[in-house]
Amino acid sequence: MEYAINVTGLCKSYQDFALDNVSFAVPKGSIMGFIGENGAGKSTTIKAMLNLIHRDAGTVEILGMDLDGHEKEIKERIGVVFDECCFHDNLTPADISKILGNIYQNWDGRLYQKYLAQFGLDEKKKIKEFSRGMKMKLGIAAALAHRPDVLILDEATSGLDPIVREEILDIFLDFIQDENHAILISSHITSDLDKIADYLTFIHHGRIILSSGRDDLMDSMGIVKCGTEELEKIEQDQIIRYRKNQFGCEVLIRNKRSFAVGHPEMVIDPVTTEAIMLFYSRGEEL
Amino acid sequence: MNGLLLKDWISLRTAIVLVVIVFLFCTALFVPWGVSSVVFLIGIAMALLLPVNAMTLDTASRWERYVLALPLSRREILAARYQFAYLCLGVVALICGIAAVVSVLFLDGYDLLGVSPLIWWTGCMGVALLILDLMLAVYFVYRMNIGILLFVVVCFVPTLAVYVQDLMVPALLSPLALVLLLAGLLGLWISWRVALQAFECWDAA
Repeated sequence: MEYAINVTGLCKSYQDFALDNVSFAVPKGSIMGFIGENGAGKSTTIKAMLNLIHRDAGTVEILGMDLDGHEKEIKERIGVVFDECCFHDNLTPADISKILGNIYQNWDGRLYQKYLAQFGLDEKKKIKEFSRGMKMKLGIAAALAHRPDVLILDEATSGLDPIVREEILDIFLDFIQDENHAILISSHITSDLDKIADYLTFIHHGRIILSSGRDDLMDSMGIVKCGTEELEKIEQDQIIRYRKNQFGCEVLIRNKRSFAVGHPEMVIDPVTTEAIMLFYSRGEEL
Repeated sequence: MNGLLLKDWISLRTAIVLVVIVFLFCTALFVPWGVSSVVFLIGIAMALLLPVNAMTLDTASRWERYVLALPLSRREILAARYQFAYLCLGVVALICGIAAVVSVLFLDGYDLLGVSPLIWWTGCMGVALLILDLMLAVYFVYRMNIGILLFVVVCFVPTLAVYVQDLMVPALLSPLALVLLLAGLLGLWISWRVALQAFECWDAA
């Protein structure tokens, strides 16, 4: 399998937080959802992947090139969208095109205009007059207009209404139709990732807890609701995490098929990305 | 890198035009009266305002983080910031220089304290260089924009000059001006080295 992004052993220490040996890979032609609670290390990982911050250890390969040796070439071929619009308020989308057209070698002004028209953004209007959704769409148009092969999105859909989010997700799905493209998207909105992500990487307290195909996770994992006495009957290797509540407990099961064979009396509910995230971050281990 | 200079120009074009108009107005007002040195001081303040504004806008819009994700090296990003600041000063120095030459050629050629406007120009530009050197180095090392503080200092210089006028010996102003200009040029090199070292190690917030 060819990888668009390959992060290995990434470490970065701060006084009160550390990224600890973060490793994951995004295959070409896929979308990877990067999930985790606030402060888990998603943005720090993305910053380290872009050399916005200095890594203590680890390597980052994007499109088969090492970031340290080919930073400029890599950045020519990736599009980045942050959680906030990074353009000055008194600029217009047309100004952005002039500026970025002088920075990116492959800047395509016509493609940029096409995206602006598609997003309903007025080229001559100042950014300060844009809503948050419009600013995010502008950021995405700017990220796509130099025809990147990889998109890296840090909470790019947060704070947007469902209609705009849907529109943006469609663009991402369209982008990924080219098998050489890939997207890494960090988001809190797990329902978005349920719609588009092929792979999920979950980070918790600076460590990667799981990184796997979303369908594999959904196919294998399940949630069982049971009483505390029944919990003791479940094999330990089947229990990933469990959460107690006022009615008993919920258990995240590793392999729902083999579990169903051993416990036909128990009902297994399907998992969602949000449920996985909640179990890993708030659940307990046996 | 041209894109970054273009960005500064586009975001500040209204301010730049305004600054140029005010500056030319001051030049027309003061130079015929044989006080070009006042224009030089105003010029320094104006030249300082533009890079200060550019840096403030970059910080406020989080452009500083975004620019690091663009296909530019940190050296290029820093160079663009230095180029813009010194380009502003260069334009001011050019206009002031022309004013000084005009004053020498057509208006007796003596300014405050009976000193040639060319000497005042040399000293003022040296001070302006030193101020920019300091401002940019402090900004990239400590992420503190001390431009406004320096602007206020520049604006208070005339008041200060009234109190220390006894110390301003005309005969000493000529070598002092030269020393200031040389120090400003040397300071530019030091400032660049210090800022580059700091910026290469800087982690985006």
